[in-house]
Amino acid sequence: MSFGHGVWTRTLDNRTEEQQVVASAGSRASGFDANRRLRKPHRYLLALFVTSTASVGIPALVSMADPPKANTPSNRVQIRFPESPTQTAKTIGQERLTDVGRSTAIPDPTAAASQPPLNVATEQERNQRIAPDWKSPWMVFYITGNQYGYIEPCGCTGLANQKGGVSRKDRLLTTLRDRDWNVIPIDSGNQVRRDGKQSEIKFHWTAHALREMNYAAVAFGKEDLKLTFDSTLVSILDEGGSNQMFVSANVSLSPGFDLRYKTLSVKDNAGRPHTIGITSVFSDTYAKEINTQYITIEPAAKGLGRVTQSLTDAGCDFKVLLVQASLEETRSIVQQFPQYDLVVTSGGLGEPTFRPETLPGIKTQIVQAGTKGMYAGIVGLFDDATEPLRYQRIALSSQFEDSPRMMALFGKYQDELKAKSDGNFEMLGMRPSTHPTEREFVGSEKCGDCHTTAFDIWKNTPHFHATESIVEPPERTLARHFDPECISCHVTGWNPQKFQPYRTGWESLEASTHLAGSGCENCHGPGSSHVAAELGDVEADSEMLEALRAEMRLPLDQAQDKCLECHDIDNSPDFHDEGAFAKYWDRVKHYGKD
Amino acid sequence: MRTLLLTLACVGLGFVLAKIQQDRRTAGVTHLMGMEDVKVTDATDRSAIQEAIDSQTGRKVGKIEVVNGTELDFGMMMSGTKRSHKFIFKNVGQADAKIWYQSSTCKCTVGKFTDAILIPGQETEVELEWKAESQFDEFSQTATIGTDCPNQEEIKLAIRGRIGEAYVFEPGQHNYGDFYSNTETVIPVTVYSFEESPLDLTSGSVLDAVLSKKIKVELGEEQHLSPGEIPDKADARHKVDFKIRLLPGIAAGNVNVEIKLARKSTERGTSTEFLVYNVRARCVTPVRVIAGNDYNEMRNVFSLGTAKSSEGLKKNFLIAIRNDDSKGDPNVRIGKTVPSQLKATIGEPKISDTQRIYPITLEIPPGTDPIELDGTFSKDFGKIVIETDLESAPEVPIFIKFRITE
Repeated sequence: MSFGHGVWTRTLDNRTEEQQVVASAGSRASGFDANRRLRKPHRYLLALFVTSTASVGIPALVSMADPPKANTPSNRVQIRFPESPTQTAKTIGQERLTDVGRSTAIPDPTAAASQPPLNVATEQERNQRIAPDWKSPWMVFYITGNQYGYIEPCGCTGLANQKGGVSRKDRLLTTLRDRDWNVIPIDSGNQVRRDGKQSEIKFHWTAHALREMNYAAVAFGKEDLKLTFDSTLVSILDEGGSNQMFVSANVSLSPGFDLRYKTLSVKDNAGRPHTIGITSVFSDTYAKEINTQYITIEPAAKGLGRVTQSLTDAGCDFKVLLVQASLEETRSIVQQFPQYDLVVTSGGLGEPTFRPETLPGIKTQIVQAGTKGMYAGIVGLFDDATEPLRYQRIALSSQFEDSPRMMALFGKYQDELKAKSDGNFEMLGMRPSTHPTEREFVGSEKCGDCHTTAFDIWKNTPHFHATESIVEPPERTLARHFDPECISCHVTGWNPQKFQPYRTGWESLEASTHLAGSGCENCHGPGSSHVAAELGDVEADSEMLEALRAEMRLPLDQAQDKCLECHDIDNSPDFHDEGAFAKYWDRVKHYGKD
Repeated sequence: MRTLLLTLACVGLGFVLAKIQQDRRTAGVTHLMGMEDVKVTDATDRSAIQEAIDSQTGRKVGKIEVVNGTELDFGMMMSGTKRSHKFIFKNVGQADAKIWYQSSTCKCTVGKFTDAILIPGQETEVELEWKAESQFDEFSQTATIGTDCPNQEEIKLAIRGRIGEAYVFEPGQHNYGDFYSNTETVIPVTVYSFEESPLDLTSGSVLDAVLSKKIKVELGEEQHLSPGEIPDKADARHKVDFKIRLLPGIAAGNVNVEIKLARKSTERGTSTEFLVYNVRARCVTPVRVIAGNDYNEMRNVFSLGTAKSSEGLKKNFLIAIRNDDSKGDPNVRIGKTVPSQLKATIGEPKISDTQRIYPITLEIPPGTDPIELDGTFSKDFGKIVIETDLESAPEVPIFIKFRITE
């Protein structure tokens, strides 16, 4: 889902046509190598060059801070402003105000880009100033949530472009703690996005990471509770066998392991004591989706009513509620329980709001966690009567270097995948399934015996190098060829969207050399019947031969859907530009037999 | 005196402007921690305060209102189709308001656009277009529009909905949960078709060579549906009920198989079109070992680890028994351990409405002589036997691998 898909797409995706010309002029090497030449430093230089030439009449190019191909219309979400508003709105010039070298990059709305960025980290997001005007908060809540399995930055568009990841989350947290602030990390849940053994392993290591970061409280996410009960239970327990971090007012895994709320005793800067109470609540709507074979979920109001009273009885003068619910349901909960000072919700669409939301007449500040772990938020409490609470949304961009301890944990996660998948993915719950065509994979070289031109073209595309790009990734060098979420698009013979091997599909580097790379059969289907018939290994009349050939053909008008299985919106956003398929196809174009 | 007043006015204005600038960096709130003397500030109050400030300073500002709301639910969209929506932005303030496209969290590309300045009272449209292509059934996409209006740095537009296919399975392709290896389990499923032509399912098979012997598919009769007959699938035209039978004897562990439903095709008389339904479940025994990544469920082996003799080894895990399987206390106890250096203790159970969970501690005490039972060969295992009063599981062996070095 999130790890290292399509290294080659990353570099292709983020170049303009002109940049690609520059790249290829420097080398006639393979597509893979040529693409690698455009990694970060080069691209920055190129961006500066492009920006400076734009003013002397060279067609509008874009810098790294600009969206790649921003001027092409989209076939996905598309924003259109009419050329002129309904009446007679003035049109602003297209000058771009981004200053690549600027270090003070607190978003200044009036200086924002006039070109719409893709959902990649903007220059401003790579140069954020963190709480520059926060003088001595006596407590800071560090807010995260909705990681959805993206324990590394999501997608394959280059680490500098991507936001999110546990490693950056930890780096930012460390940075805040280095200010000698009393930082309390809390998380609104959803560490994973799908069920299955790999997600269970991922949840286990994510919970481990959260404990290592000393999170005070973590809510159960809807997706977390869709994992098997046993794996969830064992993952929330620390080495001593107790749960000190996952809190819920209304979700019970088992008496003895439940943590309804937590209280923290702290002093503000004037030495006044405060008791902070933290709990979480799980949506009544989401509860309907959870298998309650072993898990008990009380109605939210019932569980929260009891815990809120407990927090009051405990003398909490600042109450925090993590809400696992839609934004609408969160608002409803806040209206029912206005006693909470701060609510962190998993609800809301897209990025967290710039400011906390409040409801009329209710003091509660509602902060959103955002999506895919791309953002963190900080809420500071101050000895300041006019402004006792401040909030800042922070994009987890490449501004935050990798945290060594989190990278070490990520290595252990990969080690475990390796231990459980080495040559056989059954321990990951992935018994190879028969391909829906019921045919078997033969490998691209077999195809190349007859389709020589097509095979030669393929060998000069990044598809040919797909496997090596996860064995030796150009960024974050940890190998991912035991990780089904990476393997599924980087070898031949897997189901790309279900991260599952087909029978006779790729098994390992050693056993499956003939299936390395994203080969012919990923698009055309397994070739065993066709090959056997053509070679005379089975008896086939001319009608049968033609029928089997027809089965292997992938008409161009159907090809795009096939490409999208790997070039999805997370891992290849530029593939979703209007006209992108034609450009991509041009790079791999091949037709039938010689 | 006049100079002094002017100076004070300038200082006051400076503070106000500094405050506004600070608000752009971090969003402050002025009521918390029981400070009752400070007024609650919500979005409306904040605007009111800003308006008061602007009034005092004589500053006129713009204010954007999205007339038709900032969110829209597209409802069900068939895969591959496009829909769009125009959000109407109106400047309800007293000065020009600048708006621009700021970001989109879906990583979707955005189209050509022109930034705009809206004069007071003026409207413009911002159109979001969505093509339904997603690996998930539900989608939500946002686009953020920036403004230069005070306290209105961003306006988030959102569209959401569900992606429909020509066929829908019910239940959806979700995890069924636990089932027992010694009994038959039946999973009922219905497939709905939204096409006019019949489904014409001819067979159901399991795309797994091993499990196909243990999992059977039984197709029911196809039924034609009238429009609206199924309330939440008003456009469905056909449905077929089918049963997936999980027969006794499936090995413990995760089950993740695809069921292939073949359709009749006229092409050369063979079945060339099919629907695929994914079944995920877990086959368990009456006494479940809950040990996370230390436990290999398929081999029934628990990894205790490796340590020096001077340090010894100690690890915890859990076993669980469903209340449905035990009338009263199942009397769980440690039977025997092999080798004798391996110590096992059982703690008080955590009892819920559905099951009892017992903590088990395994220990190789410090000072134990080096020993290597690391599972290299079939006899290289330690073992503990859990005994219960359950008829279905009086003895539950668990193999243990570990290594104690010098």
